[in-house]
Amino acid sequence: MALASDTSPVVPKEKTARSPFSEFRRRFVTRRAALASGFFLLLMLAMALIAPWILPFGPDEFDYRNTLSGPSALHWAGTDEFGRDIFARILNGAKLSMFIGFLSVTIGAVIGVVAGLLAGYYGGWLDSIVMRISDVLFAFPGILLAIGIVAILGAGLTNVIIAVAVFSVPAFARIVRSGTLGLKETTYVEAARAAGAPNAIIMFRHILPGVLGAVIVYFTMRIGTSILTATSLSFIGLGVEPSVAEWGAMLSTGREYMLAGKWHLTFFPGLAIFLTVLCFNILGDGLRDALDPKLDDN
Amino acid sequence: MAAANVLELAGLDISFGHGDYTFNAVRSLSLEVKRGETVAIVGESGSGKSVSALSIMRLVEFGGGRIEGGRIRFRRRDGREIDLASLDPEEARRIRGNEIAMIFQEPMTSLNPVFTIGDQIVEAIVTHQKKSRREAAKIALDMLQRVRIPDAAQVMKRHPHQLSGGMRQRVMIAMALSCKPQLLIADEPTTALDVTIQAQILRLIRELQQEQSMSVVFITHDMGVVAEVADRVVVMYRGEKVEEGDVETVFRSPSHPYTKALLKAVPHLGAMRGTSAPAPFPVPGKSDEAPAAPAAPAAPIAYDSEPLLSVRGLTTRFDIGEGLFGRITKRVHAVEGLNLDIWPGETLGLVGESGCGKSTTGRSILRLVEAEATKLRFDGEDLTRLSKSDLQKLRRRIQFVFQDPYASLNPRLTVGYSISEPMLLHGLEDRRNAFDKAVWLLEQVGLQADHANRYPHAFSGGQRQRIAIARALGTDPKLIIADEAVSALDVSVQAQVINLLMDLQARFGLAYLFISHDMAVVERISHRVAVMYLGQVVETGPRASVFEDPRHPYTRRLMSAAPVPDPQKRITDRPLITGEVPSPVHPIGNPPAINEMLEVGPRHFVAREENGGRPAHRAA
Repeated sequence: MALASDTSPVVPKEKTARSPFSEFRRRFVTRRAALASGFFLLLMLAMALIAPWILPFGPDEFDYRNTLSGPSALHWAGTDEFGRDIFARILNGAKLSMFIGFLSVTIGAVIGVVAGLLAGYYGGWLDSIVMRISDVLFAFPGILLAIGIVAILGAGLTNVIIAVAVFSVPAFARIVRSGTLGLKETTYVEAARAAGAPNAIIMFRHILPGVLGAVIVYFTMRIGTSILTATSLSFIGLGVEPSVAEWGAMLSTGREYMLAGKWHLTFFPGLAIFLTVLCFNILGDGLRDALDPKLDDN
Repeated sequence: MAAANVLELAGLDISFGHGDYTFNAVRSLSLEVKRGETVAIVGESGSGKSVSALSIMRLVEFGGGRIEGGRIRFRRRDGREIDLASLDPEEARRIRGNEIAMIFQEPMTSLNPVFTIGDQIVEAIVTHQKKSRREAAKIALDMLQRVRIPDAAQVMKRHPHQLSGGMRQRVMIAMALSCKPQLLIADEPTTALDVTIQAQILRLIRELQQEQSMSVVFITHDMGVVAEVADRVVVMYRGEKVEEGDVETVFRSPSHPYTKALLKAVPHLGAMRGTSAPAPFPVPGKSDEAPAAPAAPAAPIAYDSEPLLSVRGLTTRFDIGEGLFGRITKRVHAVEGLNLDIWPGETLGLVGESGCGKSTTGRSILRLVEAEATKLRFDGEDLTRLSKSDLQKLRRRIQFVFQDPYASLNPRLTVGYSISEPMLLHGLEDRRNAFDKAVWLLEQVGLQADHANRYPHAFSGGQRQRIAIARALGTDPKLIIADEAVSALDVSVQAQVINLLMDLQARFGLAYLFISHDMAVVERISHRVAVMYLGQVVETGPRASVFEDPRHPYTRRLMSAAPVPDPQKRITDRPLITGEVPSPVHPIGNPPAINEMLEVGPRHFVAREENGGRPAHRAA
């Protein structure tokens, strides 16, 4: 009787068929703040994408009769010194910021993940080189590094993306390396090797999925940081052209009117940055809770 | 509470979790412990035995558990009775470590690595006994001497990492007993230790118990250990007590079917006396076992033909770097000049204690660790050079089954994929055929076809080990290296997996290199046995002759130390060995001598002893 337990499933049936992904989904839906954040970011992106068709004003349309006016029913966030609609410009900035953030972090993540995986898996001189380069990049404050890169390459959207990507690489490399160091000693990796698996298979099929959770979490949070860096670069004039509808650039030009009582020129772009970065961080937190089985509550 | 009782549990209920996820770990447990008595709580993993022990210490709350009901009555040193279940936490703290002490399973982690041994014992004494540090140090020294630690004054000044596992467990016992507790709770105190060390520790606990007329609650899954130490036995199953009685009665005439099954599944050293072939465990009652064990014994092994695998001079060394520049000054000689032959269809049992190099041997053959061999022949081919294609051939024809079934399957891949991966890696099947074969293999190891789409976490330990075995079979191997493949499993499951291995051997003509520390299991499964000690084989031969006529002193020590699950065969006159196992670490340029093997019987070889002496009772 009792000894029959081995061949019968120990857990109820509907639980046994769960894949890691459905397990993740089950846990993620319980994180309300993260869900709300994700929803807010998606909403903002959707509005930014369809703005040209629904808003009566483009981001670069001048209205000289209506400059520096406060928020109204017509101009929800007011207008700037040229009479451009700030709400339209913020939505355009959202498109731009998310593009910069997403693309730069993707570039940084791809390079960093591969470098970290190779460094952690092979060790030795390769590991030393990758980690020393990371140390050097880490020694610069992020924004200073980005300023340095833009100063060398010149201002402009592409160079901002490159600058932000470069300073994302070492963080990803370190995360992936430390995860790899742990996973490459696991028995299932040894089992794969004993079965004759080549290094590439071991790295990409057995180790990479194990570190991907941490990468996704960091990826999400890093987008927030990258948006902050990119807008900072634009704010100090090293990013996009000052006339472009971008949050940092808007803050920079709006600041001259702050003391004149025209608060809305800086308040709304600032609010957009604040909310976006906050939401990415909360989303990242929620993903971490959902992806880390150690925090499982049942 | 009866005057003779030190502890009485009545209707104890313990649960974990909340709401829908509440799990009742222990249900209405009642038991009593008399003064000077040893009560063993036995059960398999998840039976609630450790949780019960932790609740007596009121430590269960720190692990997220709750005492839902019942009473834990305890007689204090001054004779007063208290109910531990309702005691306030501060009062419980004062009793913990003072009147009730506990020893844990893992001696490697239960001592704080940053303090010396002496400091840690002194702290325990100062906390509970209002003694000065000087007096406490004197008591600590005395305690260390009482647990038979040689050179105790020196050991006081050492840090935990400088001591072996057995020594650390002695220190833990010394610390636990330093306050002269009324009750000692020992939670699997010897599970992590080698059998020879285990025998010493069990003996020590018994002697100290008599000296201090202390009561002991001994928690273990090992029926052999129970037979060795217990006065009374409580058998737990899924959170409930299913049987209780004095040790002789429980072993001789168990009443509950679970206890009967449990005792049947326990491997008995010496059970195979007089036979030469391996035999499956008797499976009691209704069998859900994969196809019943074959009635017809496997074909006899043709020892005059060429061996399937023949290794000569296998050597694996690990460098130890020292100093600022990591200059290599010493080496661990894990395996040294080892010779090994395995014939087709036979099981070679490789036994030895931790650190003897038996696992490294298995890994070295497949080059999972760097190693070298002077000669390597497999399946009629000379693979000594071990080119890339040679290694692929080896890794296809020799498969590995690891000890920990929880760690050896990738949690992110379905079981079906894991099983088909080796076939795909070697290009034996395309994706669809490999998956079909995986399903077939699952059925061969006693699981169901629809299990292929599930992930490892849906399976129990025994099921996972079956999956690992199915994976090993995919490439039609000739040899499977099973590295402690059943050591992490409960005894009943262990018996099933061993029967499965034997069944597969008969059906597919597999050879096994069965690596284990458990003499009784090796006796059951092996055709031949090799005993390893300090990186070398000290005795090898047919299982019957090695087990019935062991020649090397180390083999004899291993055999006599193995706990026998029969309380009447309790060994009391065994000398208490205090020495340490010699170290396999040698300075560079000073490798260990390789012992010459002498033939003492048909295919039975024994190493000449290091002092130049001859093995005992040399055959005429």
